[in-house]
Amino acid sequence: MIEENKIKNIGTKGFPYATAGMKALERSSWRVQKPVIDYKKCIKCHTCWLLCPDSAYEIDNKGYTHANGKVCKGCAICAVNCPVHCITMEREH
Amino acid sequence: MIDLLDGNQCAAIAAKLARVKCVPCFPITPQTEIIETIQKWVVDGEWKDVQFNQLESEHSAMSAAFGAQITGVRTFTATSSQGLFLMHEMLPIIAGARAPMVLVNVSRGVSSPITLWPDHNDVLAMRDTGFITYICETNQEVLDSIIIAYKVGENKNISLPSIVNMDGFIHSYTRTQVDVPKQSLVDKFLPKLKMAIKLDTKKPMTLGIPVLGDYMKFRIQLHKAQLDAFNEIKKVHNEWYKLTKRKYEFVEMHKLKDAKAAIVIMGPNTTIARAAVDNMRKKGKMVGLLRIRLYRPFPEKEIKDALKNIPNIAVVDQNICPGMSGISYPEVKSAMYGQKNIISNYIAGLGGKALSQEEFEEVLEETLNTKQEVRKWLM
Amino acid sequence: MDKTKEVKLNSKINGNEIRVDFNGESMNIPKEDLVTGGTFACSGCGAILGTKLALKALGKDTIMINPAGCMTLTATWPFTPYKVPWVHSAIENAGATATGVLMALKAQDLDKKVNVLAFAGDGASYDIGLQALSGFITRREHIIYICYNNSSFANTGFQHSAATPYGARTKTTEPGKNCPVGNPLPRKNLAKMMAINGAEYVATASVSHPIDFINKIKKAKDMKGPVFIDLLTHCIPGWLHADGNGIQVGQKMVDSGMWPLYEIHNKKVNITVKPKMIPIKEAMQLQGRFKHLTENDIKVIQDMVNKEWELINSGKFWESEEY
Repeated sequence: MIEENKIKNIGTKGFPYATAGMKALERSSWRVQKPVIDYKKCIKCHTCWLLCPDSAYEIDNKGYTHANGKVCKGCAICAVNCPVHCITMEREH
Repeated sequence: MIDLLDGNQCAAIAAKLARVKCVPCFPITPQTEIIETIQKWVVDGEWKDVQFNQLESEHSAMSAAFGAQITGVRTFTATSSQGLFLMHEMLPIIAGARAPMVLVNVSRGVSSPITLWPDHNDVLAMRDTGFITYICETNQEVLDSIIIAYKVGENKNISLPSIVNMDGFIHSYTRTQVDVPKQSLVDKFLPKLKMAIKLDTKKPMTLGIPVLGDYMKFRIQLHKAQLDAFNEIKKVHNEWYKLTKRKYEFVEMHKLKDAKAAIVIMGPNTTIARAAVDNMRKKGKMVGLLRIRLYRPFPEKEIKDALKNIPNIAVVDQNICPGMSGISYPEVKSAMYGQKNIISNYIAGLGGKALSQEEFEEVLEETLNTKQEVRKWLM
Repeated sequence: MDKTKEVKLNSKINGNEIRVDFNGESMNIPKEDLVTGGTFACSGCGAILGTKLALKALGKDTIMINPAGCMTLTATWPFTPYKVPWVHSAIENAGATATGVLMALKAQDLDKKVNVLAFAGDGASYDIGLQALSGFITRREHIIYICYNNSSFANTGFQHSAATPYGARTKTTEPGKNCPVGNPLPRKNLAKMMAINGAEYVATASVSHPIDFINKIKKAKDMKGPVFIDLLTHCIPGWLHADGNGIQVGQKMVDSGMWPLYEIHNKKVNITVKPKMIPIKEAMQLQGRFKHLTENDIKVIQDMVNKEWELINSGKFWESEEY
C-alpha cells in the first residue's frame, strides 16, 4: 500500500504512452505449426513477406525470406498463398 | 486597459491573449458569443495565427480539441450544460492522457426540463474527470483564470486540462468593467507551449495506449498530479498578483475572523451574499462568507482552516444532486470532519432563479440562531 | 511448380524497396515495416494485414488515429508495434480526432508534409462513428479514412454492425426459430454515402487484393480533399473460416461479386477489379457465418448480387443496392 503523500513517479510518469520501436513481444507460444521454406523451389516473389499479417518475414540480401520465430503465430497464410507451394507448415509442440 | 465587456467577450479575449492556436467548437446558448467573436476576428484578419473550426457536435469538438492538443498545440474550446454532458465521454480521456487544454463552461441548468439560465449542475458533474476546475465570480476573474489555467496546466509536472466556469447570462451577457492585460504582459507570463509527449513524426509515440493490469499505475499518477497542482496554482496566482495586482486564492475569506455564522458559496451570487454580510455586520451581527474558487483539486485544508472556529455554517449550493443534497455540501462537510460546527445546506438559484440580498440575510439570520443542521430550499 | 500462374524469377531488390509478384501483378513495395509483429491480433487477422499495407503505402510521415476496435489492442502498455505516431481517443470520434490533429498540423505548417490517417473498424464507421465521419467529409478536410471492414463489432465479440451483410450470422443476429436467416437487414451503402457527402476519393478494397489496395492509397495520398476507403478484411473468429484461408475467402468474396472493388473520384465510378462472377455459394461455403442459410436463402442473395452487377454493368451504378 502506498500513502498518498508518498507517491513516486511510476508507469512512464503517469502519461499513458509507449515509444515506438520497442522490441516485439514473443508470440511463439501461440503457434501449433511453423512455416518451413524449401529454398530450392522458392522463386523470390515475396508474396509470403507481403501477406504475413504479423510482419514476421525478413528478407536476406539474396532475396530469400526467413520467418522470425519470435513473432510468427503459425497462421499459414504464407503457405496457402505461395504460388509454387514451397512452404509447408510443420507441427510444433 | 479598462473596457466594458461581458463574460463571453472576456473568454474570447483571454484565448486571444494566451495565443491559443486551435479553437474547435460547437454552438450552444449561452456560449455562442465566444465562438462568434473568435470567428469574426479570424475572418477579418484580426487574429491571424489560429485555426478555427466548427464541428458537428460537442463530442466531436472535444475530440478535435484532444487531437489538436495532443499534437502539441495550445487548444481552447467552450460549451454549456447539455454540450458539456455530451463532451463528458472525452473529459476523462483528455485528463488521463494529460493533454493541458482549457475548456470554458458557461454554466446553464441541465435538462429536463430544458432551461437556458444558469446553475452549477453541469460543471460540478465533471468533478470526477480529473480536470482542474475554477469557478469564477466576476468577468475579470474569467479573463484572468483562463490565462492562469494555461500556465498551471502546461507545467510539465502537472500537464492537466482545466475547466474555467462562468455563469450563463449573469456573466456571459452582462457587461462589467474589466481590466484587459496587455499582450506583452501575457507573453511574459505565459511562455510558448512545449509538450514532451505528443504526436510528432520525428519522435513517434503511441498515445492513449491500452493497458492491461497496469491501469492503477496511471490513475495514481493522475491523482498525484492533481494534488501537486495546489503548489503550482499558488505559485502562479502569486506571479499574476505581481504582474497585475489582482489577488486570487483557492478560497476567499470575507469577514470570517470573529464570525459566528458563515455562508460558503461559489460563483457570481457571492457578490450578493457579500453585500448581505456587510449589511448585517453594520447591524452588529457577527457573520462572514467563504467563496470557493478552486473546486478541483478540492482545497480541504484551506476550507478547514478558514471555517474551523465558526460554530454555524450554511453551504449555499446552486445545484442539486437528487436523492443526496447539494453537491459541494458533502465535500465541505468532509473537509470539516471532526470539527464541531453545525453545517446546513441551502439550495438556491437553480435554473438562474434570481437571489436577493434580503434572502441571503434571512439565511444568515437563521444560521446564526440554528441549534441543528437544516436543509432548505430558497424557492 | 504451378503452371497456370506466370511468375517472374530473380526479383530485384532496390535498397529500401522489395519487388513483389502476386497473382499476376507486380509492385515495388517499401521494405520497412511501420507496424511490427508481436501484437495481440488473432493469428491470421486480416485487419492487422490491412494496417501493415496501409502504412507501407503512406510511409513514415503519417499520424494514425485509431478508435476503439480490434486494432486498438495491438498496442498494450508498455509495448507498441507502431513506428508512426498513433493515438487512441474513443470509439465514435475517429473523424473528429483526425480533424483536431489536422488543425494542429496546420497551426505548425506541417499539414502538407504529414498524412493524417484515421484507421477505424466498420462498427466505428458505419454505426457509432458516422457523425464524425460525415463531419470531416462535409468540411472537405484532407484526411485519409480507412474503414477496416470485418462486417461486425468484432472486438466485443462479433455482434451485428451496419456493415453486416444480409443473411450473415453474428452474436446478435443468431439464426433461430423467429428469424432463421440470421441477419434480416441489408447493409449500409457507406462508400456511396460518403461519395455523395462530398468525399473527393472513395474506394472499396480488400486485403486479398493487396496491390489494388496499395494503388488506391497512393491515389488517396495525392488528393486534396477527404478520402474514404472501405477495406474488406477477413476475420477468422467472426466469419468462421479455416486458418490460413483468409486471402482465399477475400478473393472469392470479390470474384463472386459480393464485394465490388471500385473507386469513385469526384463522383466518376471506375471498377478496378472485374469479378469473374463465380457462384456466391463458393464464397459462402468457406465461411461458417453463412452455414445456416437454406438453398432458397442463397438463391435470394444470388439474385441480389446479380441484380447489383446488372445495374453496375449497364452504367447504372448509383441505382444499385449493395448486397
